[in-house]
Amino acid sequence: MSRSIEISENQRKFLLESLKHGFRLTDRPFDHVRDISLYLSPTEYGYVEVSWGKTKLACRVTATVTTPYEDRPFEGIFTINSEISTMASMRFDTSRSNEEILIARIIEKAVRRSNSLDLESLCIIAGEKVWEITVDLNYLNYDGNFIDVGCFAVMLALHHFKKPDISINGNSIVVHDINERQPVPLSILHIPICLTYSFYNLTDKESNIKGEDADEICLLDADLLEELNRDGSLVITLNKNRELIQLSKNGGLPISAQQFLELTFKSMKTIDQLTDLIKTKIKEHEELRYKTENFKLLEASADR
Amino acid sequence: MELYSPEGLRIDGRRWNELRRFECKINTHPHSADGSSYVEQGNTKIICMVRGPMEPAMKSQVNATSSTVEVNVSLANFSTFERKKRSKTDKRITELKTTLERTFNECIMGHLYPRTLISVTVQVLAQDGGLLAAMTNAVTLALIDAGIAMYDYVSGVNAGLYDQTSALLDLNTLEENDMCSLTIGVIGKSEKLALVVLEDKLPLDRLESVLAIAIAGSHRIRELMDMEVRKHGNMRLAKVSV
Amino acid sequence: MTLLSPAERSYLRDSLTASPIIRPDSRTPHQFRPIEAKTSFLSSSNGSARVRLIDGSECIVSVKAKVVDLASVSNLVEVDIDVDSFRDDSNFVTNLKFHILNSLANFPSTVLKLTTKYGYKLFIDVIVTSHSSYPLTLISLATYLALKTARLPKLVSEVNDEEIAEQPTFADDWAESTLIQDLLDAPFQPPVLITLGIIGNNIIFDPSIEEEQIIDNSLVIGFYNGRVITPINTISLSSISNGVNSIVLVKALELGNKYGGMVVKALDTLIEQDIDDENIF
Repeated sequence: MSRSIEISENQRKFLLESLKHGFRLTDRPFDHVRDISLYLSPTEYGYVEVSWGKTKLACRVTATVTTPYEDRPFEGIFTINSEISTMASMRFDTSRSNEEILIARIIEKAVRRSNSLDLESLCIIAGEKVWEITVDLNYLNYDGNFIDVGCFAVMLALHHFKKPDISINGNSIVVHDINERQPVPLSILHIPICLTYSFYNLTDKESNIKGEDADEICLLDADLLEELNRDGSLVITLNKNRELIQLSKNGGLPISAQQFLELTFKSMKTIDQLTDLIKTKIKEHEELRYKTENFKLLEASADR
Repeated sequence: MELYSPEGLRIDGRRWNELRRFECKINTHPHSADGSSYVEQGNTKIICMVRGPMEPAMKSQVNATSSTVEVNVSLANFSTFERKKRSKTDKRITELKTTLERTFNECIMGHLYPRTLISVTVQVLAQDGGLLAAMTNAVTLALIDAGIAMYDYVSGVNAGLYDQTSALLDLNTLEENDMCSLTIGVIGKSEKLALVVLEDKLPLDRLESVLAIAIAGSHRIRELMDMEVRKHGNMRLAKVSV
Repeated sequence: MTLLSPAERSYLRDSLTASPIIRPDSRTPHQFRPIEAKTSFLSSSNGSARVRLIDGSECIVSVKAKVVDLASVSNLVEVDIDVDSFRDDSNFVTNLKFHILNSLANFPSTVLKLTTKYGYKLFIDVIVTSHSSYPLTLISLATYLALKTARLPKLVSEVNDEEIAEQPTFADDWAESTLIQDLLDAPFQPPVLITLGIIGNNIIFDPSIEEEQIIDNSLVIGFYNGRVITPINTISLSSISNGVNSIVLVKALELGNKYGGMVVKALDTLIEQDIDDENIF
């Protein structure tokens, strides 16, 4: 049985009152993301741990060789498993609640359906052998906003992962161990980043629906307390090329179209920041590996 | 087969800003539900039945301050061109039903019906694009027929972007499969958005034009729904005052 | 679920065991409840029908045909039933499916064979949006209407395609499609299942929900080709289940033979009088 987290009226009112006065309980600006700390495994490829504030999750990417789907013989298979265990919070249990399914669906739409991973590059022998890439998300601690952190972790892990090199002899393939031959990074076409905005209605329902002014408060990256008290949410997924991957406002507090458009444009700044963060982190990690594993000795070309 | 010809005609002969044929009827199931409606948007056909406000079946559904809205969505096996058996716990169906629940929880005056359950059943007989939009319209009408107090209509429509340049209103299946599709639910005559769902890539700079035409389309649908509600209301009134 | 108080039960029992029978809605013993029906309103299905009773019980049936390789399928007719508020794997639904599928055992599958290799497989999907009394008769009537008005596209390619690799092709003009009736020499009358209620020595046709609570037992009989046929089953529709007297059983079958034809005739008249518009309501 999942236990719902109970918030006292005092806590709720305190939160709403402070929002009315223009500050969050953690003293973060309304449109800032929490502090991010990243861990990329130095020993294996494809394992990362991401924390946004206290929300923490681990993400692992694995690859196996398998037969492709019959109707798509030239494409590899890409699946994302994101089941939330009770470890993250007592709210989640073995029954898949609507909330959980929504989180899984949005991450899937953002990463898988948008073709961020080039599936054709996963093909080995057309119609017979392809790579199957599986991403497993393990939610370790819940402090709000699993969607944004989940999507970020998946993209980071996919960038970190390298699949074993392959040589083809006629109809049989040889998969080389990573110690034997340098593993190959995945071909990622674009980097989708999700941003979740939470809405709060400080007046009553009627003024929100009938009123002309946009009095709703809008926060980016809500933590647990903020998430439990919100009246609505909007998930915007964008990439650096200014392409909207998906938008999900599944009901919740109505907001004006004007405010909605403003939010999408404003998001670009944060999207750019987060995309750059992934790229710099991966680059740093590559350089570190280069040094520690002495790749210089393995190079066949000489410096000019 | 071009989805949008250079002369500005789509495959069913519509122009970029024309809605499909919209037919709706309320009070279609007077004996089996408190409120009911039937909506046809193009070839998408949906029956909606509302029961309530009533005693909740489960203790967990009792909310001391407001009513609980429960939506059940059922897609018929024959609703798509290819007959396909569907599970009731499909992820897509769960997402649709959660979206509808959360949308109507905001628009129903729930504080007037505390500790009650409003049960909505949506039965999809045929899908030809614009599924979520048509379901939103059907639920709005059924709730009105059930006499459940709402702040305003929620009207839904979808719109898409063809070839990165032309915004098209009210897409059917063929168009939805080929281009991105944005579904919105608009409150009454305002520009407030109750729901927004975009599932495919759309350039950010084009969002405004697609959104604008979708809002205009939703307003038109609201008018059509309102006409039907008034017509039905006048008919009932005529029967009473004889 | 008990709907009736002891006083009501006693009242109904007395009136239903009286001679002549007095039914609560003043029907004669062999009279069915009035139905409202509509056919051919689903443009993407080969056949469709909707049947509704005055108390709101409603059933929608769709018949869709798919071209299949005859060697790879075992049965050419498949039935799926969805009753609201019942799980698909519950006994209630499985029983209904079994009855309907059984009643279609005599379906002339020769009509479904297109060429030597390929044939049609019919998918009959039933949705019961609401029901009060046992919905079997409702489903059966709707299935009858849907099958009778189902149209199949006209085959244009070769019938003998033993050597040919391509799949069969059909005429694009829907006006050339045919009813199943037109593909057969004999009249096409799918079987209907009729529910009877037995109370004491009295027999009533199409029991309503109140009557179902009182009757000793119910009987489901099939009617096909002008006569009662199997399946002939007893079902208990309430918590009461007394046995069936053999004399009463025989009398029930006689009545079935006598009045069954009227049901079929009524359905056929309905089809004839149906306005050919696509409006479902």
